[in-house]
Amino acid sequence: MNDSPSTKNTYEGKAKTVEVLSDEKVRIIFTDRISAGDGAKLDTIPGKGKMNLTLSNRLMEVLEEAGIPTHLLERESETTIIARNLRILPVEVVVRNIAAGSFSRRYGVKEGEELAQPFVEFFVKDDKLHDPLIDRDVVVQMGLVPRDKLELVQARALQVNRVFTDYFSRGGMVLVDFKLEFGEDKEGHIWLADEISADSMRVWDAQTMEKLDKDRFRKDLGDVLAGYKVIMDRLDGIGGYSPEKQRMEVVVTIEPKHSVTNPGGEVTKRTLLNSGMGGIKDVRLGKTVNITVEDSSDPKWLDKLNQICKEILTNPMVETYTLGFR
Amino acid sequence: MSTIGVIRFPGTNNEWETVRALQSFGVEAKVVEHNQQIDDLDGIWLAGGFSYGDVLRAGAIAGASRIMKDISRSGRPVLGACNGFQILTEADLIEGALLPNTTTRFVCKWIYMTITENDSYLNELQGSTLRIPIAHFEGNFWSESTPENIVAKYSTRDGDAAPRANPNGSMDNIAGLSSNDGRMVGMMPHPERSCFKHQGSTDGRKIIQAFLKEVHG
Amino acid sequence: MATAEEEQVILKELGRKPTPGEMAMIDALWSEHCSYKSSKRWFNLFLTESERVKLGIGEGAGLLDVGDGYVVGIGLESHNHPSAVDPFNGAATGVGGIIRDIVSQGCRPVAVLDCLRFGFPDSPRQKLLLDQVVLGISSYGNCVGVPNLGGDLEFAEEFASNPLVNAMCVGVAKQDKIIRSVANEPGDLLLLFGSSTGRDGIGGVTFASEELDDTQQESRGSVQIGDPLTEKLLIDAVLELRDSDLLHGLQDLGGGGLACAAAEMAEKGGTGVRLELIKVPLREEGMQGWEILVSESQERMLAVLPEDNLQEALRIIESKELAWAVVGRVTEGRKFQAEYRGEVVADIPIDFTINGFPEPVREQGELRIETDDRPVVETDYLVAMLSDINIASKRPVFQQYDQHVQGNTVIPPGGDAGVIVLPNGKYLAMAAGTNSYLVSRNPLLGSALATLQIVRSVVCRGALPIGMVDSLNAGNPEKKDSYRQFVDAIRGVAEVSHKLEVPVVGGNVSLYNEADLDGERRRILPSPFVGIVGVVEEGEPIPDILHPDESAIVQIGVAPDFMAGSQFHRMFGGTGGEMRVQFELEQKLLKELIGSNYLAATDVGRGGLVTTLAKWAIRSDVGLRVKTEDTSIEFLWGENSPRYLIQVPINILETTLERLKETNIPAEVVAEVTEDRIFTFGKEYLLNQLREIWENPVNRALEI
Repeated sequence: MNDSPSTKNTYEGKAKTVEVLSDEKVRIIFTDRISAGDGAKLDTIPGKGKMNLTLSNRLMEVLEEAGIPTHLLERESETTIIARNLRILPVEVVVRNIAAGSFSRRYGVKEGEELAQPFVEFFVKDDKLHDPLIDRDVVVQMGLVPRDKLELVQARALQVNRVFTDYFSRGGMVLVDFKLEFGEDKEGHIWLADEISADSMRVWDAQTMEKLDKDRFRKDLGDVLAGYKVIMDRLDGIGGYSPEKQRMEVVVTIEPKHSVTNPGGEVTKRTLLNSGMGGIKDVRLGKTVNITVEDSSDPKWLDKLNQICKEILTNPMVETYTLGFR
Repeated sequence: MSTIGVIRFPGTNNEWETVRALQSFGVEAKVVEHNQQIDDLDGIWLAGGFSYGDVLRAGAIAGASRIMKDISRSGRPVLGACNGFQILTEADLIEGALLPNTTTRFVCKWIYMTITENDSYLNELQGSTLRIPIAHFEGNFWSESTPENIVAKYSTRDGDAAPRANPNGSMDNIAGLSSNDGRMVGMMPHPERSCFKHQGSTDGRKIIQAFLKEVHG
Repeated sequence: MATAEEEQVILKELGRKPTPGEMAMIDALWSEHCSYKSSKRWFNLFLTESERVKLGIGEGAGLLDVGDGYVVGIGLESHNHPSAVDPFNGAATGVGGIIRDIVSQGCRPVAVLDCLRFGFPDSPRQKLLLDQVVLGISSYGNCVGVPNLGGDLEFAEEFASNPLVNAMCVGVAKQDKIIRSVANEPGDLLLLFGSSTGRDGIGGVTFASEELDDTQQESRGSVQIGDPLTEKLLIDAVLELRDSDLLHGLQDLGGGGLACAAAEMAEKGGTGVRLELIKVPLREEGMQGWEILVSESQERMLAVLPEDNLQEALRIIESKELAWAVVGRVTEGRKFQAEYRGEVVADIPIDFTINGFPEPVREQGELRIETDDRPVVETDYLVAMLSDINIASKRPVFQQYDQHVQGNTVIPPGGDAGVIVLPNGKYLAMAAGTNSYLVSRNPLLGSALATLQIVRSVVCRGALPIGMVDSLNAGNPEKKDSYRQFVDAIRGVAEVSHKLEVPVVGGNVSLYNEADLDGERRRILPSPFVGIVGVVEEGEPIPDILHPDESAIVQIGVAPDFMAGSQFHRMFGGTGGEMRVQFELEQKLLKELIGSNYLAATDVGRGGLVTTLAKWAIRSDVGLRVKTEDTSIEFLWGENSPRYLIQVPINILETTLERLKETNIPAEVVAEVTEDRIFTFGKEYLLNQLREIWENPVNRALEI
């Protein structure tokens, strides 16, 4: 949480309070506070904390079932949960299916226009700068998140989107966009963190396109809680929901080290030159391995993958590798 | 009588010719599957072929197998020919790596190799020039620095390790190497294919003889 | 695709419209590739029987007795169309297919040979074809662990749009362990094992029996992808199943897939089959029943076995980590029945699917044999010959094949015939090829002469030819002249089989190797490939390289009295004359060489006497001085006559010549071995220089 700490072991956020219980665990208290526009607008809505927790827990459980690891450990009370103690990554991840909000304003796209494919944006968490949009390269360059982790986070966000889009559509709702936060534990494993609730997503009625989320509050559209309750009721109405296990595709790109001769590259280079393509200095042949991971629910699978890359997929003496996720 | 195990991974294809070659020395030789135990073996031969189809890199998957850890721990003499050599380097039991030939084509031909001074059981053949066939796609030895445990170099008929005698681009004409303790030897040429008169050379017998001497202790 | 006439026959037989499964099956089984509907009627021209023939034409391999309870299995197949579309995979799966044919008879594959034809390698496209086909053969054969023992390679413009890739495999088995491709006993299980089944090669055989057109690049869906690792494991599994006597029948899944294998085995056994396609292990989702039935996914076998043997068979198959499924049973009643997800995919009389096709009417046209007489060009013939791509050394190609794996190789490819040692200690010589240019000049006599050339290759190893397989590659049989070329080529091969008593034990036909491309009709040169094996019963094979000791090269036999179809005539012109076959002298020379112990021997091949001597000197790295009394073009450069070259030590030269004279064999000294590495013919050529000239063309062809 980027939010300011109030005591040594307690952090007051805009809508939540976090108490550190141990190296492994924290308690998260869902308050009734509500804010928008970087806290420019603040209020309290009785019962909102409880409602948010219920919705967030419900969604996290669905994600866990779909094989997406989350910070949730147990529900402690109506307004508190016990979660993993994570270092929250300093970028927020926004997934968009339909143009709305800052996306519409920024690019002049009409609200409600469907995007060709789901789109992921990153926002750096910095209240003073009002959480600005940040380019992926800048995230990496500034050392906020390394490239492979950023890619993993993006792939995870798209997994979440696939699950939610399906889940919400069954309740007659359209998922317009939503925000996620991720954290990493001491071993560097990535978990979905924070809360996922009506506070952090835009949801419209599939028929009427009526807004059912926090936008009601942003634009003073009637009873905020009522909207939240509609989302909850509609999800309840689906009854038991069993999401599809989300696959992850990993691309291992293996490159020959520059200090090692690369006969395949040499021959290819000659071929290119003989074919009349000039201006070539060097050609090197490597390979890619595409791995479809059926179950990536335990973040430790990544450690295993790295180990296999070093021990089998590559010969570290003559090759290097990078991981990509999609 | 000593028992030599010829290890078979899926895709190994020199196992039976190797068994026949070893048996001609009067020792017991048998094919041992990669998922079997090696406790009863006195010597181990890693035969040629295409273990696991040589996907990824030649010998890579076999090199990471359990039996290679058992072999490493066993303390038994080991000879790896062709794919066996590739497996030994992939298992980090012998240094370096075997890259594709500089021609990027498979090469099958008769070569001469000369045994260099070394700390392995092949040292008794030091200075001998042997005529033995090769057949491989990845025999181009490479290491960051010239290795210390060279046992054989490609050479001319007269024992000159000249560049023109190099069939695959191998660093310093290296044809074979040993492990640091000299117990394991890997080489690209196929001694088991130059053991009988009909094969056109019996020079490979000298290599096998030296290996068996080490096995007998 | 079925013709209109065939569709009528089907409607009449079934009394209803065929299901998509039945139609796909008939399409495959009635294709030329499976049914030989244009060619079967000619197979009775061949000599097909001998004391050694244990299994003739009709299954995966012909089986020949080589004594001591052993048989040798041979097969030869074309894979031309797939190789044209995807040269790497097409060639690789061609090798894989013929190896499985041999294995399915219970033989351990011990050698492969391949016959290749391309356009001249002076364009990137032809170079790439050559490179990729060789790479495909090499990567597959080497990985499976079967040595390459020979074959041939020829270039001609006519192959530019229809390259030929034919592969031969030789196997060995104990006679009491051979397996037949037959389903005799109702109640037996049908066990499919090997790879899983996907959509690859759907419609492959119909594709192989049609002309390729400009859209060939898009036909990739019909090409199969090979997996040599699975093939190796499959071979290991079959050989273990064989040794445990668990199978009643076995057939490779090739053209027409499961449908073809099951129907052919049942037809031979007079039984029927019932298949449950839901059991077939699939690698793709959403496959239709008919697709499963005719999929040509590689590395699969269908076994027939009694239920009692199943557990033991599965133990072996699972130890190789192969996919398997009991997909059905052998039934009484001669029907082919297949069901998928409660739906009838096929329910059709077996005999009808195999033999029910209406025999197509094919007409033979007249062929004009052209003499093509031109004035002779004067040049340094030897250098010009050696640097011609069709004479040049094929070592750069052979070197990419593992020639020694299995440890039995005695004489590697590159000379006349390859030789391996058999488990009974005897030697087996083998050669495969033809001379497409020669055949094209006169399909009848040319194919006889080209076949004799392969016979001689085996004979000069001192081996008695005991059997052959053929693979007849020609143009569209619906065209009269094309059909005549094809039939004449068969006649030529058949004549040799009778006259030299070499039975034909297996065959393959590849027609429709012609196409209209860019408005131009392109037809291949007719190429009746033959693969011949011979046995050295006693003693050692005659070496194929010269001994450096003082000795003479003696020609036995005669020079030709014609130049038609020769390399010399093709390159430098002159008078062609009429081709002639001399069976009596061929037979006499054959008897002389078999079991003999000359220092070395070869036959006078393409390019004639001088070219053969020069190649021999280069390969042996031994100097030769050519000295002949007769200096006519026919004597020096003529080919396709019965004549061999033998190396005789000086000290027994006189007695040898006398002995040959007594047996009425024409013999004369044509060269002597010298101590320096020089080839002397009029002037002196350094062997190293000639070697470079000889090896350069194919090396350059492989440089992309």
